[in-house]
Amino acid sequence: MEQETVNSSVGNILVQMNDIGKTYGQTEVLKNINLNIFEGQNHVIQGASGSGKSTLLYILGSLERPTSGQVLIAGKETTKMNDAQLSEMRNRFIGFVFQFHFLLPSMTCMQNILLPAKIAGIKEKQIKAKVLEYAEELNITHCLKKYPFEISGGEQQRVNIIRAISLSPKLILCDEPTGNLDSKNTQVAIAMLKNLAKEAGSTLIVVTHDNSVAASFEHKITIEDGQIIG
Amino acid sequence: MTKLPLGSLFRIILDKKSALRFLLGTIFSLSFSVAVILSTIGLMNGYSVKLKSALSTSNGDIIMKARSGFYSIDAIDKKLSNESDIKSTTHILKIEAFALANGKSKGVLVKGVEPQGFAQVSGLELSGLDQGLFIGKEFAREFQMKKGDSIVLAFNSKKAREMGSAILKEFTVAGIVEHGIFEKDMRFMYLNRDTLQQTLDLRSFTANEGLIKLKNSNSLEIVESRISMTYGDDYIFNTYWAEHQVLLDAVEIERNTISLALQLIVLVAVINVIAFKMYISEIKARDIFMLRALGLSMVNFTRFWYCMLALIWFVSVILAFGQVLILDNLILKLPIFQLPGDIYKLSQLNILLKIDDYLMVYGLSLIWVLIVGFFTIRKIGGKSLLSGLREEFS
Repeated sequence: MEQETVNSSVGNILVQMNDIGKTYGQTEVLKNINLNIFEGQNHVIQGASGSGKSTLLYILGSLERPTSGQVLIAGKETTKMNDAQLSEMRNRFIGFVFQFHFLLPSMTCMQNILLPAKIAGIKEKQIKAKVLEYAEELNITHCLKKYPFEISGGEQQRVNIIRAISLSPKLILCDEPTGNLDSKNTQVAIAMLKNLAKEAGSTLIVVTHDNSVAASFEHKITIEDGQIIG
Repeated sequence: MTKLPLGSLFRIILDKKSALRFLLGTIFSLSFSVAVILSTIGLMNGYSVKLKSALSTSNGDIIMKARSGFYSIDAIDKKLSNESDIKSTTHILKIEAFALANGKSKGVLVKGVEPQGFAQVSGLELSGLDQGLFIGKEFAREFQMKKGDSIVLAFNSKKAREMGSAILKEFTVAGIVEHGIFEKDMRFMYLNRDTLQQTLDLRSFTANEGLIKLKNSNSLEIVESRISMTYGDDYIFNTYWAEHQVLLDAVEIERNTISLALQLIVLVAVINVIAFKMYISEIKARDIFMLRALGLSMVNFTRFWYCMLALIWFVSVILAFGQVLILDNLILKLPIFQLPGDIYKLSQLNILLKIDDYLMVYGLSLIWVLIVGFFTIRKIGGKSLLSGLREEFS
């Protein structure tokens, strides 16, 4: 199959997927996916419900192993990594933003944001200044000492975004990040993600079925029946 | 390697009051079941030890009998004097009799002893034996006897039989003794050996039972076996508990059987642990999958999981230890826990546990808990992150 290469600007290949296939039982969700993604680019993955776009994103983020094929992130083959290595990869190289901006209710927003650092064994003070900067930029400084249930949905999503980029990951993966937001907040959230990804020098990949979100991205990957069609 | 501190994980997993309450309930039920098993084993150990100790009183370490019945004290003393393990020996003239007092009668066993030597071997002080007869505490209670009262003993000797009657002799109660075993306290009576020999018209230096005290009671069975080999042709040697060996063996077998049966109680407690684990995996599945998505490795999570299990187990066994101590104190203080006096009067029966008992009960409970933990972690680890996240976030 022909390699889908998204390379309109200068940069190294950050993610390389070779002949990726994924089946669940008898169902073939992804078929022969070949994809190269370059550093510093923003991408949107579009497709109908059940087309395999989320599965592709999770394989990219090493949350799921492919049934066949090879995934390389920053030159390292994740398909050959063990659980501990994959966990470290997720922690240090990848930031996740999920549709349901799940924050741990037993921790304050600041503690939630610092969780990836804590898992990585990084001292709080090393990233706290940067976190405060992001919080100010996203106008949620007043939320940091509060618990998630004490703030609004929009604020929770912004806390979630800061948590995803707190360790300046090379790759930010978002699965329907605006699924719970109204149209106004959707545009704001996408703009924030793009700006923050740019500031952190990260590559942003967003899965969405929202055409208005997809329209704001320069690079689009369309998936249908488990195959990239454009 | 991811390094989320265990304390943070504990805080995340146990943040709900219900989880904490469930955890406390699980710990209590496990500790209680472990305490029940320990107490049962301990009580049976305590019973065996107390019974042995009570049997030892009035018997010394080894009981010797002549195959011919009566024997010459001088002859055997000469032989045993070469035995370096023996501390002291004493010889008894033991005979059955009828005691008649206050219009009642009872079959008793009268022991003619040499008070000083007997006290050295058996630990039973019979000072004032020259003045008369020592009776057991239970006999005194039943016959309403006290020091200074009179008892008639009827002996059935060969000479008396020839005359077609029994030898009847009146004695003054010189003291009351307590052995700790009901049967002994009811039936054993003590006379000066010379007095008994004269009463029965037997030669001096004649006895029918020897009691031996060893320098080191720990080597009792070895010494008993050795002197049996040496002098076994003419004499029979037995440990002081030999006549109750069947009972002691039965207690030992019962102890092991009950310990195994009581593992069912641990199983019930382990079911509580399973329920707690299921509860945690259900209500905290979101947190667990989110933490894994953020980079918490299964190795890290498994470490936490087993630490939590070890903590549950550790706190449970410490609590169980405390509960056993409390029960032990209650047994000593509350009358409800006293043994029925018409069987044994073993003064203070208490819980006696050896390191082996703790190792067995604690070890088995730990194995159960670890087995449960292994299967639960396998279930969590077996689910892919994608399916877990989808299930929990959909």
